[in-house]
This record gives sequence, structure tokens and C-alpha cells, in this order.
Amino acid sequence: MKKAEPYLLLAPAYLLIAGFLFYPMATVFLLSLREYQLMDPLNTPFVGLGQYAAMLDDEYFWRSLWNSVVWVVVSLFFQFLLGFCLALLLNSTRFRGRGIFQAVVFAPWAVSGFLIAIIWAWLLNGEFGLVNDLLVRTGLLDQKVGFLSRGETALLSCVLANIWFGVTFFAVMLFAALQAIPPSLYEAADMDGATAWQSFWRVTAPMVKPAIVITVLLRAIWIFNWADLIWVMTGGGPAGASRTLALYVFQKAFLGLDFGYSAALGVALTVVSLVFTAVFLRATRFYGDDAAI
Amino acid sequence: MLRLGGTAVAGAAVLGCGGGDGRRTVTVFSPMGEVKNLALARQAERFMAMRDDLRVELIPAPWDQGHTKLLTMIAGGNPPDVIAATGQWMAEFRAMGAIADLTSWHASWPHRDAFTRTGLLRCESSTAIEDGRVYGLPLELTTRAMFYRRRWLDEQGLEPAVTRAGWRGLLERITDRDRDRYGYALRGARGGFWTWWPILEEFSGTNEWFDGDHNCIINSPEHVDGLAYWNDIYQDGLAPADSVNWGYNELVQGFWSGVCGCIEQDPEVVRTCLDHGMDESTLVTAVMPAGPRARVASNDIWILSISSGARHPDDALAFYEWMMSPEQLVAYSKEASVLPTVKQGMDDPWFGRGFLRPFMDMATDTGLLQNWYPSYLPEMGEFVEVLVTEEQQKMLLGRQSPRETLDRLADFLGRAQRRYVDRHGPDTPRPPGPPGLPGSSDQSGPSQPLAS
Repeated sequence: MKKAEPYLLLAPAYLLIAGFLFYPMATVFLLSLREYQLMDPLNTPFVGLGQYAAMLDDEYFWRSLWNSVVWVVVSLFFQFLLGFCLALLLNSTRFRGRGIFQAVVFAPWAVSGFLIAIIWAWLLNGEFGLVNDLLVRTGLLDQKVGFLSRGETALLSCVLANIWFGVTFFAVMLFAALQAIPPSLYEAADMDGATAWQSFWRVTAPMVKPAIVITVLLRAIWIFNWADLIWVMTGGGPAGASRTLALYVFQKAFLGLDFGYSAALGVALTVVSLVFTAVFLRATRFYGDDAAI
Repeated sequence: MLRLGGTAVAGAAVLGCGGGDGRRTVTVFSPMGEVKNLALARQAERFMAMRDDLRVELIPAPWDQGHTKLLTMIAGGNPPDVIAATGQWMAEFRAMGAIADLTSWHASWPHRDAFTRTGLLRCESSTAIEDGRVYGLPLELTTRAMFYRRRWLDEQGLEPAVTRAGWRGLLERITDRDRDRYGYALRGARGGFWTWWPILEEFSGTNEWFDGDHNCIINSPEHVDGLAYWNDIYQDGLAPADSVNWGYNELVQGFWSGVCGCIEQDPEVVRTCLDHGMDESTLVTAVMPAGPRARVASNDIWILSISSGARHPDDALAFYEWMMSPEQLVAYSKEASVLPTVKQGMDDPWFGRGFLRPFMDMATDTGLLQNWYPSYLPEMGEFVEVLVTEEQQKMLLGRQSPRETLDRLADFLGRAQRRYVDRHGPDTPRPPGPPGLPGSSDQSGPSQPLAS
């Protein structure tokens, strides 16, 4: 009985995880092995890996996957860069009123993605958008540009909105990490004659590295799976120019009503996320003896 | 006791539920858009004022999400009791066994002769009435007409166009890009297909999609000409550049806000325009212009049916019977600004005047080619919602020609049709017959003495 006790105590948690996580995942995987169109629900033949084979020949899939890579990498790079700069600014002892500024900076994170998408869609509107108006008035543009209606700019416009939204998350997370660095380390660096750059590189960077790694990882996965901002701003268009893999899964399931193929796409989405996570954690040496260095 | 025919796809809900006040609940699925959903809700309130033992619970849905939502409810084993569905959906839901057979009730219903011939023919062409069996009755007629900004026409001394050639000239005259004015609110994103397909029918003179050997014919030279006509409107700057991403909301907003001079839309959009400040001095509606080979009526019908999985079939029928009476249908049609399906409404001068007049003309003119879609194909959801949007946007962005666009679409549909024929045999549903002969095909032919 004594031996079984820990397992019994853990059992409710495992059962919940199994019921709410593994069961749906297994169901989705099994669904991906069938041809299941909601408009023909009585005819769902088992096709094995047929949906996955079809995916390899699906130009929309590859285009969506590439768009997802651009969407994640560009968004993440600028969110991190600007967020880190903002965190350093907030951490500066010479910066007055940082408490208020911190609260203001965090505001975008509290706004729903849907609302952000509407705001940015109006800002970038090809006819009456503020951005167009400013660029034309300042002479930077000769004529208005349909940012959301051009294949070259649609995805980058969504990325811009995403950067604006996500910078604050990085700023607050990294600011918290910066605050946790003992001042004595900087004092010691000063006494050793370290320059500002050396202090940053030898003290600040290693100390906030765990926070950076986990924040980048979380944001990467969230952005990869985040479809509502693009859906509202462009609907994935024009002609799929801004369609990401997550959006393609949604479109196939709830517009195309092809739940079998959509499930296969969902499994692919999960596999990509897992592979990215494994590679990222290994590349950043998050686990191991030298993890914090 | 109403006997429900058909077999529900999945088990119906186990028990009916009532509110805390002991009333039994009748659920009504209404995916007809805000204006019409509200009108139906008002009717439900009137019904509940008479029947204190029943509560009518409306399940509203936006039009473009209605099909998916209803399908999900039925497939999930939780169907609504009463279903409002367009004629395009009826064959599909009947094939799933989701619609109750109302024939025995209908045989002794005192208002069975109240419906117009047009309404009943549309029920037949949608299979809501088939071989004398009744699965649904017409709630309202719907069709499209052209909306114009009256003052823009007046400034140019123009009248609503009669032909597509005239309409193109009108768009050129009222477009003034220096003043941010565009002729046409083009629907380049989701649902754009609903606007350009009728043009292809106008140019080709047919509403057929497949030939006798089940080959898809929508990429014929005449169809290509029709799509090129629509594409040129965008390429020539007669619609806003952003309209490549416009769906329904942006489209209607683009019209009433003064960006665009005309749109084609359903009658309930009249109410939307009036709600946003337009009136007789700024808005005019007109019949759709005719193409080189036909004038096309994008007619459809909304049908009210009872679900075969209704939890309280008798209660559902009580509401249904009351709602489908001529008096209530006319009240609903006026409230929603839609076209009535009963003779009493057709005789009512309220519907034959003002903004609704062109809609009435389009809906009742038997000389028009009837727009039609092969909605029996399971792949139509993907075709309309994903593939068409992608391909039409590629074309609007200049990456492919109208010919290439239609070739790709025809290839997809040709394969879908062959799969359907392999499974169900060669007798596929057919479109309504040529002008003057509505319902000439086997599937849609008048069958029983239901019509007056």
C-alpha cells in the first residue's frame, strides 16, 4: 500500500491530463487516418497515411509552412530585440517614473488579438488608413499603398501588428529577470575594471539567459499557433500570401469542412512545434551543467 | 402526433429541456443574418405571448457560418428543433436524414394552398418538396438586385444600367479616384464567387456545370469571357485596390460609407443601408443588368423545416404551424424587408413599391435564367471557401489569367463530380431548366398538386 500511495496521489492529475490532453490528441491522430468530410459524414473510409501523402503534394501546405516560418522568425526577432531594449531602459536607475511607464507599456498585451487586428487593419487601410495618410503627406509615398491587399506586403503587415503586440511581453519578462540580478555582481565587475559592454556581456546576458530561452520558446510556439490576428486582418489572403499553417488548419476544418485532412495538418503542426522545441533547447543548451552560462 | 421521417445521422439529444419556469423549449436555428434573425425573434415573442407553456429559443448564426454550424450541430447529435435553411442546403440535409417528413401534417393543414407557385417551385427544385412528400415550406424568397448611390448617378446624368456593357460604362463614369470614389464594391475575398458566378452564367447563357459525360464545363470560352469581364473591373481600377481582401462586411460598408457607387446584394441590405443614413435621395435599387446571353436571377429560397431529431416534435410543430400561416409570414417579411412566399403577400402593395420593387421583379420573372450550384458535391465547401478564394485572388493580383483560373477550378470540380458519380450513380441533381421552364429537370420537376 505504501508503494502505491504516490501513484494514487498522482492518479487524478494523470487522469485529467490523459482525458483532456492525450485523448483529444489521439482522436485527432486517428481522425487524420480517415477521409472525413463533414458534408459526407456517413462515408469516412480509412486511408492510412494517405492524407499525409497528399499533404506532401499540397502546394498550399508548403506555402503556408513557409509563411509560418517568416511569421514566427521575423515577429520573434523584432519582439525580442525591441523588448530587450525596452527592458534595459526600464531597468535603468536613471529612468524616472518607470512604474507608470511599465504599466503603460504592458497595456497592448491586455488587448484581445481580435481588437488589435481590427485596429491595425484600419491603420493600414488602403484608402483611409492613417499610415497611408502619413506616408503620403510626408512625401515618403507618391500614392497610397494597399498594404493588406498586396501579396508582397500582406504578411509583413500582419507581422508588424504582431511585433507591436508582443514587444511588451518580452519587455516585462526580461525586465523581471533583470531585476533579479544581484547588484553585487555589477559592483564586482566595476571593481575589476569592466566596461559597460563587458558588464552586459559577462554579467547581464548570462544571468537573463534562462529567462530569454524560455520566453523565446513560449512566444515562438504561441506565434506559430496564433491565427486569429491574420484571419481578421487579411483572411490569409490575398491568394494565400499571408496564410500560415495554423490558419490553413482552421480553413480546412471550418471552411472546407474537411476534418480528416485538417486533422493531418494539425498533427503536422504539432510535430513541427515539437521538433523546433527539441532543437531550440539543445541549441541553447537549456538543460545541462552549462545551462546558465 | 407528428411522425418524423428519416434517420438522424447521430442520436438526437436525450431529453428536451425547459427553463426554470417549467416551459418546454423549442429551438429554432436561424442563420439568416442580423436583420432577419431579429424579425424571426420578434415573431417568436408573439408566439410565446400566446403559448405560456412554450419557450422559443432562437439559435442565430451569421449567414456565412450557418451551414457549418448547422452541420456541426446535426453531426454532433444536438440538432435544433426547427431549422431555417436555404434551398441550396436542403438536398444535403435531407440525404443525411436530418429533416422531418411533414407530409401527413401538411395534407390536412388549412393553409396548404396559401403559397405562391414560385415559392412552391423553388421548394421542389431544392427537394424540400419531392414526389409529393413535404420536408419544408417556403419562408421567404431571396434574390439579388443592384444597389446604386443615386447622387453619383445624378451627377453624371445616368440611370441604372440595363446591360452588362452599359453597367461597365456606368462604372467608368462614376469612378473618380482623385476623390476616392470607385464604381463597384468588388468582393475579392470570401464569397466573391457568389458575385462572379452569375456573370459567367450571363455570358455563357447556361446554368449547367457539367456536360452529359460529367465533364466540368465552367472553363468554356464564354465562361472565361464572363470572368475576364469581372476581373477587368478590378484591373482597370473601377474597384478599390483593397477590395481584393473584401468580404461581406467590407463590401456593404464600402457602399454605405460612400467609397463605392454600387453593389449587388440581397433585399435585407436595404435595411442596413437605411440604418446607416441612406434614403430615397441617396439610394436606388434596380434589376440586375443582363449579360450577352442571359439575364440571371440569383434566386434562392429560405425554407423552414422541422428536424428529424426534434426533442419535442409536437411543440416544434405548434410553432411551425403558427409561423407558416399567411398572416405571420407576411408580418415577418415586412419586418425583415424580404419577399413573401404567400399569395396574400404578393397582393400586398407594401412589397411592390420602393426599394423592394426590383427584387420582386427579379424573383417573379420566369423569363430569367435561374442561378444554380451543384451543392450536392461534398467538396463544394472546400471549393467555395478555400479554393475559389485563392484562385480568384491570384487572378486579381495578376498572377494568372481568367482562363487559367477556370481551368484549375474545372479540374477540381470535374474530379469531385466523378467521385460523386462513382459512389451514387450517374443521376446527379440538375439545375432548373431554361427560362420559362423552371424545374424542367428530373430532380426539380413539378411533381404533385401542392402548388396553386
